[in-house]
Amino acid sequence: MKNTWTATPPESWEKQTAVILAGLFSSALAISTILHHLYPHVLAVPDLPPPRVMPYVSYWMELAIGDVTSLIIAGFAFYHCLKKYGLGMAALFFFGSMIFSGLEENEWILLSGRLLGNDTYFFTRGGLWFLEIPFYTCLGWYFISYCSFEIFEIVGYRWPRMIRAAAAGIFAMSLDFFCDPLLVNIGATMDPPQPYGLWVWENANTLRLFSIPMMNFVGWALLVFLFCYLFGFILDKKTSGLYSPGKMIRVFFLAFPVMLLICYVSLSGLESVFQGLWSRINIFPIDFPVK
Amino acid sequence: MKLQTKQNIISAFPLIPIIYFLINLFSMYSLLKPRYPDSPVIWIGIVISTITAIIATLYLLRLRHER
Repeated sequence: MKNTWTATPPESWEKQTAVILAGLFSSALAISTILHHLYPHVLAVPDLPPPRVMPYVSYWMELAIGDVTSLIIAGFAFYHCLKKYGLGMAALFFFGSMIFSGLEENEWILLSGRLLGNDTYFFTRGGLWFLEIPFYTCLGWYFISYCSFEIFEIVGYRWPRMIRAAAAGIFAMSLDFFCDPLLVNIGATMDPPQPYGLWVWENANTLRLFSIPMMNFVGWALLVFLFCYLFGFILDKKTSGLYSPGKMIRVFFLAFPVMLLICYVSLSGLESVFQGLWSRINIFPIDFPVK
Repeated sequence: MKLQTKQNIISAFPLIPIIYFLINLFSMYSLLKPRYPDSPVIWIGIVISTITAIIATLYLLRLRHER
């Protein structure tokens, strides 16, 4: 296998890409955080007392610890990407995955949930926000997507690009099998116990797995698959010299609206089928009744 | 530190966030366990951790083979 580790200093397009994306994303974080904490009526997302998992520190300290810890963990993934693929590609994956997954989740929370009235879910706790998604969730999306991508780049080095991306999507989804049932019920540990966790599922009467809407798991697999495929595609084009950096960045970001549309249409259609045919089925229910 | 050694260490970095993520989830489970000692969610955790361990081993073996 060709050694792709970079030893050269970043080129000017790489520095520009990193600075522009960091500036844009930081601005979006700052505006969204102010909106969420000071003007919650603007986006009108339901507000519940957030569950605490570190009651021995202050509430704001707990939020800061959550964001900073996620940032440090994401730093391992970013540093690996930086060393292996260079600053430009690392910046594209880091900001691209957070923007793509953040917009997709906001599509469900704000467009589907608040504007169209098809309740989906909302988050209860976060320090920094990207619209109505906590920053630590965006970082979680990033490091799970990148690590899944990279693991299957190595493990499946002989597989076609699409199979590698699909494997990454399925692997990321499998991690959520453990994550979702726990974190939506973490409020049960509070005093007094709360019947919700770090986020709340509102779409009743749909097919469920482990008491979580099936659409969530399909969404995880689909999002990670689409993003890993897109990143792998532009990486291949860059490596083979077919795309200039400018064309690569244009293709990368122009694919976002198409992928968001694919996600929205396919997941909405699937959810309609689930609600119509298997609305009362809960496969392997896992519940934490408030005691 | 030799460049090759440094590269070998950095090659394992993609496993760190996944391991952190699973440890974090098990610590969340430890908060729920006193009130829900019989919850089957732990079995999901064990199965997912086993699958992850197998994939991580394949990843490390493949990296070693590359060198």
